[in-house]
Amino acid sequence: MKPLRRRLILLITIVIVAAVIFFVGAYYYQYVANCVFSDNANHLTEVYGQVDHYFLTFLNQNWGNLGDWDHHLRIETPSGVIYYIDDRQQAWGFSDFYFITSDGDYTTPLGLTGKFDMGEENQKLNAGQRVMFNASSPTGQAVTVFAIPVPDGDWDGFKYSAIGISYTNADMIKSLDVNAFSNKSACFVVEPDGRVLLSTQPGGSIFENYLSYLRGASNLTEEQLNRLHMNWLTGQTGVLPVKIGGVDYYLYYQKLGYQNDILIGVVPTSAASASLLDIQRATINVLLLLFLLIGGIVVIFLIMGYRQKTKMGAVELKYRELMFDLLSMNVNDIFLMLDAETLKVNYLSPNIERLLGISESEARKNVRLIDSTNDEYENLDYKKMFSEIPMHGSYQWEREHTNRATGERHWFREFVYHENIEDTEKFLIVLSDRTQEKQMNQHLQELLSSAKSANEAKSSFLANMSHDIRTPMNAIIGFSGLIEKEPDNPDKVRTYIKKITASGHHLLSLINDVLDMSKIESGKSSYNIEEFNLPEVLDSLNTIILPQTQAKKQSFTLQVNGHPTERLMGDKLRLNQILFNLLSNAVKYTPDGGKINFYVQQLPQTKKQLATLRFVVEDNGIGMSPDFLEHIFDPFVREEKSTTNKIQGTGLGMAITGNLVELMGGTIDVQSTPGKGSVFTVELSFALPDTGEDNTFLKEKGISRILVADDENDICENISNMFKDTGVNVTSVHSGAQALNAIVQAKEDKKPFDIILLDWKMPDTDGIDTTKQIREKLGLDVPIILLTGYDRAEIEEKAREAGVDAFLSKPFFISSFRQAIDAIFAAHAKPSDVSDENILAGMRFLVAEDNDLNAEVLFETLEIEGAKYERAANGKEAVEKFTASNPGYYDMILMDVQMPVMNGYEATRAIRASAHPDAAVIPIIAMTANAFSDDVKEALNSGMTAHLSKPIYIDAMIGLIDEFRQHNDNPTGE
Amino acid sequence: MTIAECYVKLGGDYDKILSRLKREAIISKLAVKFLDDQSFALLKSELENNNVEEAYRGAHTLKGICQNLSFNALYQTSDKIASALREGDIQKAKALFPVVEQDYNKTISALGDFKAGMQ
Repeated sequence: MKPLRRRLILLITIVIVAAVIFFVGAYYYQYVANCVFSDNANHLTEVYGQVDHYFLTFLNQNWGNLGDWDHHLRIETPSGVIYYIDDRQQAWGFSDFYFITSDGDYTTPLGLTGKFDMGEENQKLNAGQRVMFNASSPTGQAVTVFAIPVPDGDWDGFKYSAIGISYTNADMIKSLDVNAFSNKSACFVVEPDGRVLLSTQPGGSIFENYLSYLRGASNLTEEQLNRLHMNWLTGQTGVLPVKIGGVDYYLYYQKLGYQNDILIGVVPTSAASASLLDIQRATINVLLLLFLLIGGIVVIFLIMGYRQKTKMGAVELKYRELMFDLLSMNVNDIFLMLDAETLKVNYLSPNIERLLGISESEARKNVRLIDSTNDEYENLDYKKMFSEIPMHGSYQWEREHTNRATGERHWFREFVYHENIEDTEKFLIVLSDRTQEKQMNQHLQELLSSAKSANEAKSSFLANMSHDIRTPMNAIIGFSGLIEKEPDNPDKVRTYIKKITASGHHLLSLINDVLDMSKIESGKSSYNIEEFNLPEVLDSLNTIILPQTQAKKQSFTLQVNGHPTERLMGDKLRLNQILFNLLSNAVKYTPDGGKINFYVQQLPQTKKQLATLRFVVEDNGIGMSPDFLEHIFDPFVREEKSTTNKIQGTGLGMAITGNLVELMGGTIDVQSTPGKGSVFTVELSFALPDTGEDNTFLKEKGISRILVADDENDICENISNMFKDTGVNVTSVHSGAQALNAIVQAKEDKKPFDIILLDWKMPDTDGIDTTKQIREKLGLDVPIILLTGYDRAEIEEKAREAGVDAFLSKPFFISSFRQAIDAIFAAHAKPSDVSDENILAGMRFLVAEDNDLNAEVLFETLEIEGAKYERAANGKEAVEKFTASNPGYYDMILMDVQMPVMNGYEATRAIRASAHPDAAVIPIIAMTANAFSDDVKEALNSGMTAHLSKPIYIDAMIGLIDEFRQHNDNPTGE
Repeated sequence: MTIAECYVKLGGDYDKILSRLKREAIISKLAVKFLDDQSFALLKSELENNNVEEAYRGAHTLKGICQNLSFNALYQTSDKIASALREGDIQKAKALFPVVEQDYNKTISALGDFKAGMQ
């Protein structure tokens, strides 16, 4: 549709343009012709106006001359007349002189005679008018005769009444100067009726009447001729284009200033407008050329535009193709196009190899291979099946395929589209990998079922629990009812109240356990890791359990094997709960007089900071059946036996115990024989607290005096205790004001505090304000640590602004304190190290650097720091300088790696291998422009101590030197 | 022109060099010496001779000096050519060279102007 319309529009446009060009051209042509015509007309008017003028002048002159001469002719002798005439003839160029009678007979002075057939002119002449007419000369030439009447005279016996002279037409033309138009023009003088009086045609006029001539020879119509005749009769001037004998002429006419005669000029058009025609042609040619040029350019642009369009189209097509290839390579969808007739593969996306393990070429050869990866492969008639899909319809199903290469199984959703592509029926097949979705579905299914079973568990838990809760509640309500019945019996009331209290306690413990359980299960159970003392835990357990066992006359032994670590990190309360549960169960389920043993033992240490302890609770009680053992850690499970009925319990104890052990990352194991007893084994790991290094740590940091300000005395004491054996002096105060006083005092005593610990919440001046005063009023930058609760987030920013360096939550351990101190020192380290002391001053460096400029930059840097230096221009020189030096002369070698003669690595090896006393210990620092780790490694391998990348920063160098000093316990050559 | 302006002109980091060498006079003295440094000439001639090893040495030294003097612009480009040469890719190095040369000329011209102003 569209292209057709476009073509139509194009055609119409072309037609319109052509028409416009044609009409414009025609108009232009007409216009030019008009211009040319009017221009020529003007030209002709001018030319023939001139001719007219000449003619009249010529006429009058001749007539005048004749008048003048008449007198001479009458007085001269005949021979004198002949000479005279001859003389005039020489001067004026006429051909003959005539004496004329009133009848028209004439004689020349030389005696040649004849008769002029003058017609009307004869009468005019006789009537005294001067005339002009065409005639034949005595020699038979066509001539024009000018004659004037004169008084009757006698020439040598010839009686005359007029005299005249004649000019040949050639002479006339010369005199009239109608030579314009390259002599191609003709000039006539005619009577208004067309009769020719005078013709410039050599040999005289070939026709009598010009009008009649035109009627016969020209293309003028009768009407035009009539109009022309009329114009002549009325003496008008005009120009008329006329065709005579196939040639275009301009016919010009005007009234001649002589009688009513008409001057006619006939000029070939080509001659008249020669130059104008040239202009016209040239213009047309130029225009034509321009049109052609413009047309050509337009056509070229159109072609180029079309090409560009096709090219862009091609590029886009190519990109689209690339894009599709890329996509199909990377997505998990296989695209396949089959010819419906032959089932031949037209297109196959290359990802088939990745997804199905069939190579593209194989699959192209045999498309059924794709099908064969399916598990339920049957040789189906696909052509028939697919052909049944309606045109533009689709069909889909899901199947599992096995990747032939990897053996992986994938679910594919397969789509078949029946399409008509460029008049050929095709099947488009898409195999879309949906394995992940499938798996996700399965996963969701599993989640759903597990959620269902969890829900069921919850329901049964609730059912069990309500039963367990109802039992004591029944007791409470029942006994309350009994009290109501017998309010006056104090003994009974007392008994009932005791029972109610017991049931209430039971209910309370039950509810506590349920809460505990749900806390653990929901992961909300808090787990506080702190340092605790194992003997203390065991001691308290012993204190609780021993009376219970004694009440039941059971024997209880607590036995600690070996020497377990006493101080451990862990949740003391939870450990207590676990062990208490196990022990109290043992007491509960062991008959009176039974035996209960509690063993504690530390297992061999496998990790450095971890101690693993085994707790064993052993009894010779009623034991448990294997069936029950399986569910012992499930909530609300209690073995129902006659022997247990009397024993009270929530049935949650073991569930809680099991969960707690799990929570603490430990294991619990039960062995039991009904009637013989049970053994519970719990293994738990605890982190070891940091110990031992505290003293050196504090010394290292130069901490010897600490100020503690806290309004609670306990805290102050605790902190004092913590530092008891560290050699650190702790001063305690109880308010901000006291703290300030103590600081001022210590400063005066020249024993300033190294660290200040301030409680946040103190009466009067709190820790933050105190900090502000220390910073602002006293101007001290001593590290300040703020002691806070756990909820310090909101004040942290404010505190830092005030100048607090770190925070500690109360109560804190020495390990936390250490961390805080480390952080403070790390933050303070850089500026103080660099600015305070200049450790480079006085050191002597050997600098191996081949490039002068680099060496100089380094020297300037070293000079600023007050260090001395010597230079080696390459590795070899460095080795020589070093080996020649006295021990201890150089403190350090800075070694460029890339050097001519001997590079830095080789030089280092040579230095290390030399016999110089400092060979092994002198620090050699590699300087490289490359920060590649390979370079660093190679530098270290060659024996260099450390690596600095260029440009060398003094701070970095000082840092390095600092490190050497700290790590080198044995002094080097310094 | 001050040395700081000169650094701006040649695309260097004056603050950085000042933090290392502290004094304007020292920086001026050292920077001007770059005019006499031959590492660029070495790089250029050896690159023409297709001598990868020596060209690398030139590029590497040039890069080191630029790093040292904080001539960042030239450092960036000389670093690129140095790594190309390090990998032995002389074609790449040759392709990179015009830019290095341009930066070098820029550096030299800035330093030259500065030096002229000093005297």
